[in-house]
Amino acid sequence: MNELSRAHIGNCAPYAAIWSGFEGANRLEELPWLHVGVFKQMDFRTTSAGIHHERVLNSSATSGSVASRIALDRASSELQAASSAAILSDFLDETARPLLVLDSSRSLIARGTVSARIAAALSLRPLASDIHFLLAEAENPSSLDWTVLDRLLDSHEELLVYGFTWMLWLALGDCDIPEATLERLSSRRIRFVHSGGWKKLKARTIGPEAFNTQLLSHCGPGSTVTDYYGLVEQVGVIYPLCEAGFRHVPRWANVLVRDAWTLNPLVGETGLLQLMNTLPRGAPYQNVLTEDLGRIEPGTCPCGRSGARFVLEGRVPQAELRGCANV
Amino acid sequence: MTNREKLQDLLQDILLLDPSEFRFDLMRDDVQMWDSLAVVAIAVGVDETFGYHFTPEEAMTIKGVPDIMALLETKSISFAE
Repeated sequence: MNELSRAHIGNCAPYAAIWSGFEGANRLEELPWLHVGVFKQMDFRTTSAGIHHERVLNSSATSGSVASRIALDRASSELQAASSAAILSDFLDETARPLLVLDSSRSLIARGTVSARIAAALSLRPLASDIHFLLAEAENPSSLDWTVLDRLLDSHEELLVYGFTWMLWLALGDCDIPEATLERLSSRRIRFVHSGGWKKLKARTIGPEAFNTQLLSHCGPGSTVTDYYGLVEQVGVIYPLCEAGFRHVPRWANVLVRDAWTLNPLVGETGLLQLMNTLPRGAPYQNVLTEDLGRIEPGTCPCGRSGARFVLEGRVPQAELRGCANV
Repeated sequence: MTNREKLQDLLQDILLLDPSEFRFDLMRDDVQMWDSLAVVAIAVGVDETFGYHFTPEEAMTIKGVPDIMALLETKSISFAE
């Protein structure tokens, strides 16, 4: 992390302007970091030999808010894809099955940018044999094309379905599914994966337990629902909820908790989550202070996974409702 | 509309090319927008247009428009002029 921080300071002028005095850290909390909100205000791009920038990843900003902009590069994208696949393969086996995305295929075509939803969906691609888009209109869950779903249900025993939490609920949870589709679903294993958070479902007072129960009630044995937390500012490192209710930190990432007022590191208490990973080369988003509240949990997880883990507890009161944080 | 015209429309749309910039011998390295996301968009677009989805292994071998046509020809989708 010291080397990565120095590389960004040496090759990204706006970042150097903030962290010009950095000489090296002996502890995680001394490493250079940025607040997530800065990525809405400034464009960071680390430029040096071997870094090939591609598209800009935009967060799914809520209405009236500004989106974060993350400059993606080829080498980091490859690392990020491998990272997501490694994390998710611990929750989903590596069976080859089609990936169905609750979005429109038109969302793949955007001038120089990629949306948070498409980036999240494509992170599942290494766990899929092929990819299909279910919606005719990107923002309209009720535009689901049942004929596409029926065709894939007829030809595969297992399907992987990804959508933002609220879209998955409206498209396949709280909706009238055609009888013919229900019949097909009842004998198929469906692996639902969702992210993006619960805030858009707040008015519907639907919680995770009822959400899972409703989705799985249509599907065959072995079907599962995986909910993960992630930020566009930490693309490639995602935090699925384990069976015991914790988020596990992969070896190429780390998490700190800071006091919201003093920014002092906290141990065993709730505070602001600071997420870091070793993957980003094309821009300095390797260490970001979020507006999400959490607590690091000591000891071994009952689920059997080792290493650091945390509990995601919500948002900082009055923090902007962001489109990409899963809270 | 012929299969050649359908493929040209699809690739122009995904790769953000003007008709004057498109060629049937275009290679991936010639087009800035032909990145990993475009590879997925092409696989999905070809499936929606021609009814065949490239396997991940096939998608990896595509280095240009001639490879797309050659792969689809093996699935009896003709691009004869």
